[in-house]
Amino acid sequence: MDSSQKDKGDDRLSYHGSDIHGDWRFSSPQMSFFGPPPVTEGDQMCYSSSSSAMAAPFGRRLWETAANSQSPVLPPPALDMPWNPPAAMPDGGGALFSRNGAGIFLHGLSQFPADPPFVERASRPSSFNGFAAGGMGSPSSGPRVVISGAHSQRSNPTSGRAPPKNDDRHDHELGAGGHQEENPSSGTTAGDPSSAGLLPKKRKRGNQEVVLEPEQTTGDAQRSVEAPKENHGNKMVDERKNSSSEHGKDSAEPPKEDYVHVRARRGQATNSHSLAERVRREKISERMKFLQDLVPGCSKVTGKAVMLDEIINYVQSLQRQVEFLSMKLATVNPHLDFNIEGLFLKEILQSHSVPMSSIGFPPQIAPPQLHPGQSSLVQPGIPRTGNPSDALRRAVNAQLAAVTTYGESANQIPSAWAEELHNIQVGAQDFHGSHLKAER
Amino acid sequence: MHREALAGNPNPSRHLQALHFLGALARINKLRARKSPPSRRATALGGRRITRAAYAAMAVAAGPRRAWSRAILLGLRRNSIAKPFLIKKRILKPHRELRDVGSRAEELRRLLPGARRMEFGSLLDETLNYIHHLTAQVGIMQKIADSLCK
Repeated sequence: MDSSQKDKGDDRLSYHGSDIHGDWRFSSPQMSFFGPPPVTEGDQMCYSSSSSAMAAPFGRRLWETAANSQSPVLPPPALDMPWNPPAAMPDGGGALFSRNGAGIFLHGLSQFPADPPFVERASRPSSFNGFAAGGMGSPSSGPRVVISGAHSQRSNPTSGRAPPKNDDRHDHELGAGGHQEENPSSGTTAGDPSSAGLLPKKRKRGNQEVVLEPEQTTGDAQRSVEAPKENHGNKMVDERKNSSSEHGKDSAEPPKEDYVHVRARRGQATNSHSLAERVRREKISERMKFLQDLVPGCSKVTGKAVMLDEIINYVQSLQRQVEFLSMKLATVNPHLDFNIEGLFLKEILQSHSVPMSSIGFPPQIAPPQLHPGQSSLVQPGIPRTGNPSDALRRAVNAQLAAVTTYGESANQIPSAWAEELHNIQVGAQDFHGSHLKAER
Repeated sequence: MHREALAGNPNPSRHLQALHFLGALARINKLRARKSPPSRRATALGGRRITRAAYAAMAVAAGPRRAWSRAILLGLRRNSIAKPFLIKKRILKPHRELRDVGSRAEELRRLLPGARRMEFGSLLDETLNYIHHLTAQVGIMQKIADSLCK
């Protein structure tokens, strides 16, 4: 049954590889993946939005059912492991769902760059990129902190597998499987059983974290509204986990965890939701600090509202400045000598000598990508004159190509992007050209 | 994340931005030099072109990782950018009632292109990056304007 469940899970995972992100996104408002504990083991994972009655036994049962086989068969390491919305997983989903959730979870977590404040509180930060990229279209760099223990590390001894960072999902699954295996045998032996006992909590918490993440995406109000609803069931789990971990019962405390492991501080609520909220708040406050550094004159401002006011004002003023400067440049442009543009390049790129040295303004450089587009656009409207300007443009494009090849943008700009880059230039030209024709 | 926004090496991205902007300026110049009408409307038109070029340079330098850069480039592609043109309207109606963080966040979302349904945390992230590139762009344009007006 478990193997069948696992097969189903794998199938489902592979099937859902592509679309679930959107589904997850849409289902995120539901938020309460952990409905009342299902009577049957994995068959009724009721993810109704009523939720909240979660208890640790529920999670345990989940784990037991899902991971009894302790099969090393894990879903493929595709980073786009789908976050199956509860609706999409009618049955057999308990383990599957948790696995999926954990997978998505881990996937996103693995790409999180370390934020120092989080590193303080977590053994190892990781990101929640999969979530972000899939669900919200937010940049892949958007970090999401997941409060959860590291199953991977814990499950390693049990499953005998070393989890690389990108295989968090596997480890997660494995951990689920592993500790499920040990759950029934959860005895008093030091390492594994305790870790196994804790794993389900962690797993559960992880899933709850996943739940919380979508919560957060839907907005503060919604989150605040939904959070209390789901806090109930997780409390016990987290308390137990936190208490046990804090008491040091967990001998298999993983030294490194794959996602942000937030520990409930002394005297603070150990509810997973409150923990997640705390992490989110800290994330937001950290970003506000960065913004404070960036926006001039905000060092004394405290509080999010006033800070946001300042930020809004600053952004508006910057945009107005761009507008004003562009108007100024438009008036001054006729005086723009073609040679001066070369001087501009040299002057503006003073500090960075690499592109200049590499290119050196060879007048005959013709960037292959841009030339066809440019020629097609420029030739109909404007005869090609002015060798220096052409040379400059070509040099500029060549430099751009060069910069893209070894700038940091090289890594992030795939060829398609670079092509779009040129297309944009061409498009901008188009734009200007069309405007020119339209207005004249 | 701030380091992320700065990309650890601000210079290459700024150089890319500057190069793009200068290239766009050169192209605009070429387009303009033929007729060269000194009318006010032409100036405004050229100004709008230059703002579009400025935002395009920003977006290109930011890369496809950012939601705002993607939104700008997509808007440029469809020849319908909302952002630069909205600026005037925003100036005209500066009155805004910001009751709480939520409304301010909404305001921010309106300011940033492509940040409509973004959660608060990533909204701040995008804002950071956007401000970074905006300041870079303003610096570039100011340098150009200064050297032109000398």
